Amino acid sequence: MSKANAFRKHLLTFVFLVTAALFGASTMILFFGMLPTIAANVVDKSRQKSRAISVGMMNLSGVMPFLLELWMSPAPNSFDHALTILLQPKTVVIMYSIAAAGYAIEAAVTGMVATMLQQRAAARLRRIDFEVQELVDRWNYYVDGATQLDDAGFPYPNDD
Amino acid sequence: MAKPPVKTVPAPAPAAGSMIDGAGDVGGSTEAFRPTPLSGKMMFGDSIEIDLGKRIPQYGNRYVGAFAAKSLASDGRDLLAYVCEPQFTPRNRIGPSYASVANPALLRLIGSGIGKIAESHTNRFVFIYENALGAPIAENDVGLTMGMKSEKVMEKVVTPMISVLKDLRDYDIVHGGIRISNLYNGGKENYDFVVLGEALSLPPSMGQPPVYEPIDRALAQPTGRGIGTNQDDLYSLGVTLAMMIRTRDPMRGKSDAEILQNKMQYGTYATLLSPDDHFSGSIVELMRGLLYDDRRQRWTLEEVLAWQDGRRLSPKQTTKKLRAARPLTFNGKTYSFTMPLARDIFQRPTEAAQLIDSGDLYQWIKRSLDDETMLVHFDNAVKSAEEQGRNSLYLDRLIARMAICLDPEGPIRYKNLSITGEGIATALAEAFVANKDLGTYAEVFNGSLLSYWMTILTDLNHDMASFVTRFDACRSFMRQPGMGFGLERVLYFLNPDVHCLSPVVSRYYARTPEEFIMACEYLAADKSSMPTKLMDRHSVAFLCIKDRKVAEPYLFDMGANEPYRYVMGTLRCLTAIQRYGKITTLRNLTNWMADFIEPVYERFHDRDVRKELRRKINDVKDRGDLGRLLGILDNAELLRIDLANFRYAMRDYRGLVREREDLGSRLADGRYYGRREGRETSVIVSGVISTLLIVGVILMYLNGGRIL
Repeated sequence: MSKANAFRKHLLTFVFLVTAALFGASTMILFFGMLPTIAANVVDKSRQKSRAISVGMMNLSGVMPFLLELWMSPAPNSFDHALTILLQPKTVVIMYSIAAAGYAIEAAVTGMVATMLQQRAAARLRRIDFEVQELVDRWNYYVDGATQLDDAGFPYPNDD
Repeated sequence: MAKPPVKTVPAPAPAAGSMIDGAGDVGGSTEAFRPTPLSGKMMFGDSIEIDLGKRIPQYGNRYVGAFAAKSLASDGRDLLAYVCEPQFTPRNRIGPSYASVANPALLRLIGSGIGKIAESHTNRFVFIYENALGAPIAENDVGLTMGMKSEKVMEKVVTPMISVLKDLRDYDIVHGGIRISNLYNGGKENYDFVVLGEALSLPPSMGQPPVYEPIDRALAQPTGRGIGTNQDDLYSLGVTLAMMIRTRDPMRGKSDAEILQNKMQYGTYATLLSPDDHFSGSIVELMRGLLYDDRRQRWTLEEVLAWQDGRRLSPKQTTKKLRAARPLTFNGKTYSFTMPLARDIFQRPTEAAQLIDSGDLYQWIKRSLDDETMLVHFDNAVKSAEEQGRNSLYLDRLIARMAICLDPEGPIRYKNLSITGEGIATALAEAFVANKDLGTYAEVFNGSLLSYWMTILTDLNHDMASFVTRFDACRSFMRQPGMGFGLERVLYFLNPDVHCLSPVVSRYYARTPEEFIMACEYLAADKSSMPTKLMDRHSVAFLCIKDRKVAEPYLFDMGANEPYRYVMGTLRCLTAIQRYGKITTLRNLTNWMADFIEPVYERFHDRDVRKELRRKINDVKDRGDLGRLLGILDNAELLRIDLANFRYAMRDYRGLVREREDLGSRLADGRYYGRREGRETSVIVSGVISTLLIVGVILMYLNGGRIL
């Protein structure tokens, strides 16, 4: 990693920490609300992190009403109000249920699509077998190129 | 100085029955010949019917049968038909000119050509004559002593026969069958109307007993005597006259070989006529003139005509027969002349080898004959025999050359052959039909024996130009092993009279490409009788000779091993015959060819193209036009496109197989296939849902709604 990149990374971390500190109430809701996403990110070993992204997006949509609740309250950056929101069971149920829905969507859609693709591939294999047989029927067995052919494209007599 | 002995390889023992038919020996291959039994009716054209059940033995001979025939025209006259045997090539080309000879003393030829036996689908060459022979003057030819008055013979036989020979000479025809048993009384008593019988149904002079032939021709086998000259006819007439007028036969009870031996030693005149017989009149002069053994001394027809006009002929310059000062002893016999020695060394090769090996023969020629030319020929014979090395055939080659050296004007003798230069053609034809050993002929044409023979005769001032050209061509044909060449080509080249001997069509007696294709048309009427190969070495060689443009361009194809190439060559050749012969319809053959061309379809890769070709062929196969079949199949552009499409198909095949392997390997573990795509889809789905939720919540809060 070059020095410029390291500096940029440090700068971003610094800005992130400062911002998180400045908007501590929102940060608190986000942190506790997005815990399922953090867990999904840890569990998802794939390079694309598609599961973490799916869960994360759904999780964010579950956290969003409570952030709005905080921001629309009279004390938008109040730790007490943020704590009040977090301590309500409804908050946890909604945020985590929607995150769980993210899990469910990821599992269902992935399975569905994979099954569909597998069936399509199997159909293609059958089609290929059919087309290969058609080629052999129309052009004879040596169309496969496995037999040495003469200039006219016919097997040498001893290859028959 | 004594000539160093010539070393020879040990001679094989002579094979039983290897004696030469006609070469003064009894026995031989044609002795066992029996005419093919024929029955039913044979049609000659539309107007003459030959009754094969009515053989007329007195008019036929050992080889050819004479049958009663009848004109179906309004006159309904009786005719005489000679039905030729395929084994013995008739002189069919001279039929038309022979028919033009109008001489009452010569049996009139009405027509010649193909006679057809419809029931057995067999054709034969036939000569149709007027049925005006009457009874034969004598039933057989051997040992006759008729004791006729010479004046009577002069009036009743000599005059009409000379007239016949003159007419034949004018048409450039050699009769080749003048003998007593072939003279008939024309149905009249007292020899008032002597008629000479036929001689065209056999190879030249084949039917002649050896006694009627000059010595050199009598030594040759009957099938190999060659066409001869008018002088040979005159000789035969001389023998006939001698038998008619003599009262004693000096050779009574002797065999042909002994008579021939006597002729060689004492001359024909002394052999046939006893010194005790005294003849009056000028017939003696005529017989002496006709019976000279030396061709140069023998009377020509002009001399006979001059004699007939009463002119006295001045004696010719005689070339005295070379006689040895001391006789040579060979095999217990003594020889003073080379001609009988030539014959006997040929018949006793083992003993001859010792004679040559010991140098005795060379010394005899040098000291007793004192013939420098013959000595040179002797040396050349040894060199020529050694040209092809000293293999197992060396002795045969040496003996053959020695026989020519000793008797240059005699026949060419090799192994079991004894043939004249002209006669080799008809002998070869007979050998082919009778399935005799053709290897000997191949050796003759491939080796240098003929060159040696021609060189010797050229040295002796014979005109050999035509032989040189012919035999050079034969040698060149022999050098090419492919179809259309070889011994078959030689056969048809030397024998313009011979029909196509291919087993496929031989029974149809095809003599021209048109007759050949018509024979194929008849054959094709019954598909089950068709051979797997229509064109064989015989057919192709025959067609090359008869009309080279119908066969030679396709020789490569017809000789190819690949079935489709052979089939296309055959089709092209037959199409050319049909086109050049202007034969409009060959329905059976076209129909059969439609099946025969199966291998050609196989040359197209594309099954659909084949199907289309088959459909097109089926559409035209009943029209009888081979050209149409060829037009459909002989399409280079279609072949090119087919090949290009085949290459594309190969490429497609490879692509499909690659795809199958790729897909198959990925699909092998179903747990992973499609999951990446599924997750990506789930991200999109989650993203859409979450976006909708967020937008909904924001709108809800903006509108004053609350979740808590």
